[in-house]
Amino acid sequence: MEIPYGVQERPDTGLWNAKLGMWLFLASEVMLFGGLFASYATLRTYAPDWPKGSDFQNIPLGTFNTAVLITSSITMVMGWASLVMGQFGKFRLYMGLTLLLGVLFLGIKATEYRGKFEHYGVTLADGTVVTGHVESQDASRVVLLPDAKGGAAHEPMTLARSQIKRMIVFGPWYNTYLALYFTLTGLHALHLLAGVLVNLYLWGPGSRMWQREPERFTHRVECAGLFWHFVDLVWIFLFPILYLL
Amino acid sequence: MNHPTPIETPPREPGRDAAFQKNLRASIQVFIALLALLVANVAVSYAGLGRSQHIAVALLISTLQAVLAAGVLMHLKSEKRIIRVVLVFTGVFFAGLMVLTMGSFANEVTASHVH
Repeated sequence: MEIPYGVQERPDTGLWNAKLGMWLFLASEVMLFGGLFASYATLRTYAPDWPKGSDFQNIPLGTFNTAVLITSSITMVMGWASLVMGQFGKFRLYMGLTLLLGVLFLGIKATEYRGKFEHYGVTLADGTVVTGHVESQDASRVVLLPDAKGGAAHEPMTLARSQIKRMIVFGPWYNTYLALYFTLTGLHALHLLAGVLVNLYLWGPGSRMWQREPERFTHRVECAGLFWHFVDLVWIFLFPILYLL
Repeated sequence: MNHPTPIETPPREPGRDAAFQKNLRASIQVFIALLALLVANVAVSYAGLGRSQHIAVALLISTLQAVLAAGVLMHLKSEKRIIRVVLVFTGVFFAGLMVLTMGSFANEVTASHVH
């Protein structure tokens, strides 16, 4: 038995099933991210002190990554538009570009994560806090390359273990800002990964549907596009709150 | 992998095609606007504004980007009424979630309130 309104629009809503379903799903996603944004706003508002995003993030890299995601949104639109115009070859080209840009975004994000786990905050016995990359360490000493501050030259510092009161990597446990950073960007990256997998299916084996049911396939790509744009939209807010503010 | 043979979609009405081309051009304009607003947001972060002013301007720019992306790239501006209704409800619940979460901290329980 064929499920009605898979391709045709329902007379009462004017929508085909999947589009209504996708928008309802996106509404639930707004609430999922909304809870986390509310946590961010609350924790930040009532914190006695809050770091600037630039203390922890590479702004040019983050800006480039945002541009990558925005570009992937337009290639997604062009892919869908190619199908509407009956140009399957162009669809594969634009969808392929969307996939590459999505993977590039995740690759840059992974590089950022790796950088955090090579970065330490070191509290010395006199209360001074030094942040930087650990170049080498043994049982008696740590050689730290401190972060450059205000363009000042930074030479490696050799610290005796007895001088160090506390030494913590920039993981989610370092402070509330980094806990929120990893939670929000981690959940966003999982969404992007899901989008990449769906797009990969539509670009590859799933595209066989174009031969049998071109309109239904176009609808599938439209739904995947809605999800992709939503993930882009979430990042549009994550970037300023985590990198710029 | 065997690539499917390209086939033509059913013929479209001329008026609808013109509207479609117009929407496509709008999408490209929005793409350029999104990149320009991204640059503006980064530039504002180096402008030396006070913290609360900076938060307000940055969120305003992001909201503008979100409106453009949702309105044009996700076709919300020409979408059916039921979807806009669903999103209005979502917005109301989202606002409630934010207000209730933040408001819960505004009403601290102190020792004098405990009986």
